[in-house]
Amino acid sequence: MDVLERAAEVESKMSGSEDVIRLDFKIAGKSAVIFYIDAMIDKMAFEIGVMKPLKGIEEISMPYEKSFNRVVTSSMPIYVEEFEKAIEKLASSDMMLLVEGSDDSYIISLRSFAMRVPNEPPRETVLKGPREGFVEDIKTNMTLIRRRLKTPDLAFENMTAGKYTKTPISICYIKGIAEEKVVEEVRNRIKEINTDGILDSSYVARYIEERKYSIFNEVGSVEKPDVLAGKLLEGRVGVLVDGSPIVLTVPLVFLEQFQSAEDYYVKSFRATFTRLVRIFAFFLAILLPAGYVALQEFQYQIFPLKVLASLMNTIFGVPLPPTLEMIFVLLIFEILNEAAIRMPKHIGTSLSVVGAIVLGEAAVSAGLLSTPTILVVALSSIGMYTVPDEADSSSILRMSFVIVSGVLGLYGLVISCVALVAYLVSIKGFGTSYLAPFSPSLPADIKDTFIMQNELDMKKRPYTIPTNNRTRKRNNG
Amino acid sequence: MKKIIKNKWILFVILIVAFVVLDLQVKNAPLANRGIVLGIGVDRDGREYSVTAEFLSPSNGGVQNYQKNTMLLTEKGKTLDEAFEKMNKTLGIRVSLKHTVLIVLGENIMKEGDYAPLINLLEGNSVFDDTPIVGVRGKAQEIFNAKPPMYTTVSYRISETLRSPDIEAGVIITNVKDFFRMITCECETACIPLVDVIEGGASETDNDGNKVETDSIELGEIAVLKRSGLKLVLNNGESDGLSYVISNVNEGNIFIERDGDRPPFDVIIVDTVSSKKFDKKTKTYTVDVKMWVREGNSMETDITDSSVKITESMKKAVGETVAKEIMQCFETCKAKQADVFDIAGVLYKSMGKKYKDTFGDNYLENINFNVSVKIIVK
Amino acid sequence: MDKSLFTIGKSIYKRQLAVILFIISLSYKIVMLPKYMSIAASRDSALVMVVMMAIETVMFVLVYATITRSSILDAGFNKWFLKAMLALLLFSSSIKLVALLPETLDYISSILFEEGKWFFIIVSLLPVIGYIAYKGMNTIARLSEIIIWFVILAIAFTVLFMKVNLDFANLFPILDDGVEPLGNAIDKHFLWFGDFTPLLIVRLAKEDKTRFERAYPPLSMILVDFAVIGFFVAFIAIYGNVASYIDHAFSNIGVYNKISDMLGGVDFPIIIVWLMMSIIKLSFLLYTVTECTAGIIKEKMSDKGKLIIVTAALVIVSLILIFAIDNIDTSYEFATSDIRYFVMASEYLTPLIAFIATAVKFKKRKEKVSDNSDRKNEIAVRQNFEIAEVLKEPAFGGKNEENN
Repeated sequence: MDVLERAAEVESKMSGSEDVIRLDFKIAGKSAVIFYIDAMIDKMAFEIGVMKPLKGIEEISMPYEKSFNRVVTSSMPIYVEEFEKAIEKLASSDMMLLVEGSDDSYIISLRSFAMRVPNEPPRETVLKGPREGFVEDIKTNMTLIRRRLKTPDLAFENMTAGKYTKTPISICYIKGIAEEKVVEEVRNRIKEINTDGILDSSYVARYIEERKYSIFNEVGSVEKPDVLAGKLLEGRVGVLVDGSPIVLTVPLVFLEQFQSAEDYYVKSFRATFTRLVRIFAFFLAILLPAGYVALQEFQYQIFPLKVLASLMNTIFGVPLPPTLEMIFVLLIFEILNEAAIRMPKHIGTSLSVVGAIVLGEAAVSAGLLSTPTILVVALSSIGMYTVPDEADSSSILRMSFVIVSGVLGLYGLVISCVALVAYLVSIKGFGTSYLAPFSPSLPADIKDTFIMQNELDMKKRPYTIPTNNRTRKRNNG
Repeated sequence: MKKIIKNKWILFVILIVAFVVLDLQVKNAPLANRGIVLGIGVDRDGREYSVTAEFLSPSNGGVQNYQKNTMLLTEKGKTLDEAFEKMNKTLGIRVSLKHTVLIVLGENIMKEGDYAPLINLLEGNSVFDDTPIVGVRGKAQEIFNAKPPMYTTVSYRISETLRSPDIEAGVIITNVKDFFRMITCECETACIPLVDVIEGGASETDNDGNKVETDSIELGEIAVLKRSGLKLVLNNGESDGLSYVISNVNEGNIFIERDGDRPPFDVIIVDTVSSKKFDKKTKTYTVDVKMWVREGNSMETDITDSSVKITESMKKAVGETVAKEIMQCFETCKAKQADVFDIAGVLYKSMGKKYKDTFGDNYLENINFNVSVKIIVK
Repeated sequence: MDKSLFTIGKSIYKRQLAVILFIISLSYKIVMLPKYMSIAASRDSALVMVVMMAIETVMFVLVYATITRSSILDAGFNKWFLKAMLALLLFSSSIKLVALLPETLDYISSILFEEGKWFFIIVSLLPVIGYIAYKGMNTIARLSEIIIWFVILAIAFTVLFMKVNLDFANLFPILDDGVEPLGNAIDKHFLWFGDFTPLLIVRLAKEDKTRFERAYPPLSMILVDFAVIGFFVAFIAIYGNVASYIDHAFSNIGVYNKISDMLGGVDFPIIIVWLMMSIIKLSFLLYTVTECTAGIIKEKMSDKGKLIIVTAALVIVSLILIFAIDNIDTSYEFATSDIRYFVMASEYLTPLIAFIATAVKFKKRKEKVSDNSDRKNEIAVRQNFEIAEVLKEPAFGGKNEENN
């Protein structure tokens, strides 16, 4: 086909988009057309490193790409690609070159677009330790990981998913530590993705998870390269998705979400204390509202007499039954929560104050709500965010428990907790039980659960994660 | 996929319906619809029981004022449950007994030995097993009309005294479980403290600085009950003697009057431990009491004078006083065939049922009762 | 998909077995049984428990010796012989399930509700028990591993802060009324014992994680013996003759602690913990019923089939509890009726039969292995029985800590 005809076909396949730039020029007297997407290439490198040298070629012979690569100064060589695939690459922000006399399509990679600088992620802030976080560009993320794991055993396997988005996905793991079966399984699951588009790593997570409708996460999420490096060293497998600053990790255990990066950068006694606080806060968050409702509705005898007297004084005259009151206040807090996330920063603070303090105060003064209920919900909401990864499931759980407690009291709360734990103990993902190392019990791993032992004493990788290399290698001497 | 979603929606609807049905089935009363009972008084009124309940009445002011805000209600019924049912209807709220801190038995209940209400409470799990029981002269209902000092309710005031770790002489604590344990054991005798209200016996200053007369509540006497009913009431000295043996007295003073010119003195009780044993050969039942004491207030006449000490004769005098009170208690109870020291239990433990053949029904008459008191100065 | 990465196995570890046997043995001996025993044997009820726990220990030894070789489901018995044993287990477990459930219902209705109706408790409790039973033995084992911590904490809290007058004189004199009350008490209350027989269908993991793993179940048995007997001793020492009035011994004892003086009744840790233990026990019984039924109907029943069996069992039990055994007195009459003799026969004979049968089979296999040097046979034998010691090498290749 004539180069101009092929160029017309390219334009047609690119849907006549205005941002697709076409440049006609000559290389050694032959007609050439180059296509690129505006603002997605490094224009300086293009002009100096590609256009100028190409225009300066006096003579070219087949294969043309050899002649091109002799003169261009881009870091990536120019290579040949199938026409259809070349158009996909063009859509992915590479440049496509067509030259008269050759039916081949040539790809030049000079991608450059505006992206965020690695900064501290909002959900994993630390007082001590690195503050770099992942960004939306997969290549930058891979670089951040490489900088921390300077080992030839660090492997990246690239794939794409999404019919229209063609999102690059990369599986990363350390050879010799990660269990091959797990890597294989992750690979297969990503290959099976059959959808229009992958816009974020959470889309990929849905495909990797075994239980699609579970409220609990089965795939971990990490926003910092140092945290990911630590997890890879334990034997986990990471999944990077272009366009998402959140990297997925498998396998995931429930207790992992109570760990923070900072635990490994402070003294072990401090880390132990903060972990216990987090765990306590989490259980308080999901059980306190339900427990309060259960005690009010059924098991009043559990309240000590003085507490009971104070409580009766405060709830006297409240029109709603305890269960409805609690559900109502929980809903209000959820509304405040959502509004706070989406509100413009300028009015966010003042409206939060109005919502939380004034509304609550006014409602109590008017006798519509009782102070203990608001206190309970406030404590619960704060406690929920000590473990931000489980905030979604905590929110659902606490509401469900409140409803069950309202109907069946403490008995209902106990049996629902037992049923929930029975569900959790039966979850196994990528060779790991979800409630390990508590169930099944793995005493060797207890040193990094509720308590945090000194890193010097952690000579073996956790038994919770399948791996063939249990010993953490250390240099002798 | 559609089948899964459809099934989940069906499951969700079933769950909602199930919860609604369950909610309708379960009969509960939220806290706001409950009457919290602090104290229960039981009297006999003809063929019915007259039950008085002291309720906690919610009001503004939090903990500070709750102790003053109570409400009394008396209802009659053939059983305790019937009386409480009537209270439910009268008040329109559910009577809740789990915070009951005191059960008061009226004189006529005690005299008749009608313990059915207590059995009702024990078996029905309505109150905790360790709820104290006291008795009163007259009607139990009247005790709740008292106005004790320190903004306390009657029930709370009495139960705090009984549960206090500082146990004075003459004070014993008998809870529901212990009461029945003693009534059903070999001795078939239970003792409960008697409460006495002295009107205007105390005073206090209210928030406005005005002096207000209040009632004082005394616990000095002990009622001795058998299966058939009230046998006797021990006076103060006898009650002291009983408490030294069956209770851990660790508070209070013992006043000793001495002959001649020697001044009286007192000692402070620090702790008391007792044990009982039976010698088959000599048929002697011995109560051993060890009492730790220290110098009493009357002895500290000069704080610079550290030479004031309890002498051997003083110790002897104290020991004799204690032994005398214990013996007095035993003799009084023996006269009424009331085995307050559970002598039968000890006999049964060492001899089995044969003890009845050896000692007969009047075993109290046929054994030698001995008291040994050792006073240790702390 | 590699299913082994996502499904938990069918075998349990010995330490999980230790926890399970503690819970299933303790749970129903400390609620209403103390009252029944004290009515039957008065102060000698502690002695009754000594005798019964001794028998239980012997039963445990037989069962443990059997299952360390193999579960009866995997032992390769003759089809009809296996079905007969499963039928016996099915019979005894079903009767126990129907007899013990009312105790839980009564406990919940009188302690956690104010004499609530059983209907709503049945409707809410049975699906939970059914779910756990359906999930299988491994789920029951893992759940027990979590719950045991709460049990230990609650018991420790109760014991450490206990403030009660323990009058051990209440236990004496021993056998004052002769042996007859003892015999009557034992005879009447067989249904509350024989808890280990259903363990015959449990599959134990072949590998031990640590050297001490084998010691856990026997240690647990000793611990539960002490716990049960100690509980009875304490109960009689506290209540004396009043013991026959106390419906729920375990929760009543929880009231007697120093913290109650400050805060009021602090018995709810005990109440909650017992509820959890009873769920484990009932789930285990239901699991046994399911597995035995499945084993009788078909050699390898699918999960769907087991779900149908569980559902059917729950429906039948619910109907019995709603229309037939609808109060605790009727339940006691049922449990102490003549049916107890059939249950007793099943529960005490089955372990003996299983022990002898597996011993014979094991001996035959051992002889066969030592004669046969064929590697394939050795592997096939190894899959049925753990005879690694015969071949003097580890049973499996690398030591995978997480094989469940």
